[in-house]
Amino acid sequence: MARYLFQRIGSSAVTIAIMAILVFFASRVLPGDPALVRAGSNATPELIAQVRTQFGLDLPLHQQFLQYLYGLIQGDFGTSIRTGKSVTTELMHRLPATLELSLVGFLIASLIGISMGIIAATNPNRWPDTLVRALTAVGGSIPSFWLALLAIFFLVYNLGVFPSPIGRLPLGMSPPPRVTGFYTLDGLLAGEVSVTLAALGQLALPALILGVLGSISVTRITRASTIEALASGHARAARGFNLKSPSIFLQEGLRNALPTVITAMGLVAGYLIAGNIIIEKIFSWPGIGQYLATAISQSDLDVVQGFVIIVGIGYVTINLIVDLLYSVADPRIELGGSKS
Amino acid sequence: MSSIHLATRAASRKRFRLTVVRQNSALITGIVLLFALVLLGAFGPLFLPSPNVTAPGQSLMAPDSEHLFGTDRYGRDVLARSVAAIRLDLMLAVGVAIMAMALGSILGAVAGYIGGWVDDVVMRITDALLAFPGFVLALMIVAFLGHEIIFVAIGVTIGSTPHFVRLARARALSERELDYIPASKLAGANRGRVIFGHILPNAISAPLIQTTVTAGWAILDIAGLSFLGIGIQPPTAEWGTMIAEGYSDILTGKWWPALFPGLLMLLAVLSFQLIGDGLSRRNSL
Repeated sequence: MARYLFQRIGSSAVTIAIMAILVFFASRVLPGDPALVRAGSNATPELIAQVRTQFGLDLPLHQQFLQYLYGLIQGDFGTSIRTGKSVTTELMHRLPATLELSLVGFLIASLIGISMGIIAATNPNRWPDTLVRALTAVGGSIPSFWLALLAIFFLVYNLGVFPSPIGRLPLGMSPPPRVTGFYTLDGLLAGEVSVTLAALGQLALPALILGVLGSISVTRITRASTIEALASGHARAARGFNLKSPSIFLQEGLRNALPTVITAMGLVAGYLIAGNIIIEKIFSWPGIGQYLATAISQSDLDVVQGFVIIVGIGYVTINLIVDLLYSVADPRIELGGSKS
Repeated sequence: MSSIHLATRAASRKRFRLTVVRQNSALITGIVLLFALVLLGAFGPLFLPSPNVTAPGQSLMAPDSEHLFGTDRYGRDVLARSVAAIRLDLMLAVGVAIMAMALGSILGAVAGYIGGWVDDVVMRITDALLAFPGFVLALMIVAFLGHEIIFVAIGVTIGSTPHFVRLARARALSERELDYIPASKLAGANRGRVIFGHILPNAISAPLIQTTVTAGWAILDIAGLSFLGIGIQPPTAEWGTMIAEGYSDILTGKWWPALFPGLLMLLAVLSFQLIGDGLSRRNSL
C-alpha cells in the first residue's frame, strides 16, 4: 500500500512537471509581449525595457526556465505582471472561494446524478428512463453561460428566489474572520450565523448550476453501469433464488456499479475545479477561475502558469483518491496490480 | 393455420422495424435537426436582412412580426444574426473536430504501432494535456496566440486532440497483434504503409464516432471563449459573442438578444450529440 502510494505520487509528479514545462514554453515561445501590456500603450521604449528587466523577461530563455523551475520547487509561482503581487499568495487567497463553490456543486451533482441514474436504471425503457435520457441529452448540449443567464433572468430578477449574482456575500456585509476561507464555516466559527446564511444564499444558484451541469455524466454512467450489473449472471441468479428486488438492486446492482460511478464522480470533480471559470465570471465569484479569466486577457503569464499547476495538482489528487476508493468499492482490485 | 403464421410473422417484422427505429431514433432526430440547421444557415441569409446593419432608432425591440427574434441594442435583427452565426459556428466546429480527429488518430496509431520511446513521449504528453478540460487548454492557447478566428480553431483543435490519441492508440495496440500485420510485412510493406494502409483504417471507427460528439463540444468551447471575450470578437455574428452582448440587456428584462442565439446553439450541439449517441449504439450492436 505504502509502496503503491509512493509510486503513484511519483508518477503524478512527473505528469505535473511535464505540464509545467509545456506551459512555460507555450507561453514564452508564442507571440504576445507581456511587458507591453504592463507598461501600457503609451510607454516609452525605456519603460518597456525597465519592465522587462524587472520581471526577468530580458534573460535568455533557458535562464528564465531555470528561474521558473527554481521558484516552483519553493512553491513560488512568480509575480503577476499586472498587479505586481505574488501569484502564490493571490491564488491561495482565492482558492477557498473556488473550493467552496466546487464542493457544493459536486455534492449537488452526485446527489442528482446518482438518484436520476438509479430511477432510470430500475425502469429501463419505461417513461422515467426515457425522461431521464431526454434530460441528459438536452442537458449535455446546454451552454453553461446561457443556462446561467436564463437562471439569473428567471430565478433572480423575475421570481426573486435567489439573491443577486454579486459574489460571495450581499452588499454591505463584511466577511467573517478568516480561518478556513470557507465563508459558511468561518461564519459559524465566529458565531455569526447571519453571515453563514447569507453566504449559503449567495452560493446556492451558482452551485446549483454547476451541480446540474455536472450531474449529467454521473446520471449517464450510473444508469448504464447499474443496468449492466442488473443484467449480469449473478443478479439473475439472485432473482432465481427468489430474493426480493430491493435487495437484488442494492447487492447486485448498485454495489457492482459503484466503481464506475466513482470514476464518473472523479471526472466531475476534475471538471468543477477548472470548469467554473465561466460561472465564476458570471456570478462575480472571486475564485481562481475569475482570476485566470482576467489574467489571460492581459497576457499575465505567471498567473496562467500558477493556475495550470494548481489545477493540475488538484486533478492528479482527485485521480489518486478515485483509485484508492476503487479498491475499497471493489476488493478484487489490487492496488499496483501486483497479482496480475 | 397459415394465416396465423403470417400474422405472427407480420407482427414480428413490425416489432423488428420498431426496434430498429427506436434504436436509431436518436440518430435520425440528430440528422434531421442538423440538416435543418445547415439548410437554414445556407439559405436563410438570402431572405433575411444583413446581420451587421445597425438601426439606432430600433434598438431592443421585442419580438414581433417584422423582427421574429427582436432586435439587439444596436437595432440589429437578432434572427438574422443568429442565422448568420450558423455558418461560422458550424463550419468552425466541424473543421475543428475533423482536424483533431486526423491529428489525434495519426499520433495514436503511430504511437501504438511503433511503441517504445515514441509511445512513451506521445502518451506522457497526452496524459498531461488530458489533465485539463479541453476548454481550459483552448483558453490558454488562444490567450497566448491572440484573439483571432484561426487561433480559436487551433486552440480548440489542440484541446480536443488528446481523446482521439487515446482512442486510436488503444485500437492500434490490439490491431498490431493480429496476423495480417506480420503478413503484410512479409509481403514487403514498410512501416508507413502498415500504419497508414492497415492500422489506421482499422482503428478509425471509434475516432470517427467521437468526431461528431467533438463537433458539439467544439461549438460549446468556441462560444464559451467568445463569451469570455477571448475568442471571436464583436461585431462578428457568433453565438457566444451575441450571448455576451445580450448579458447586460437580460438584467434589464430584455431577454431576446441572449435567448435566441443560445437556443439555436443548443439545437446545434444537441444534433451532434444525438448523431454521436446513435452511431455508437449502432456500432456496438
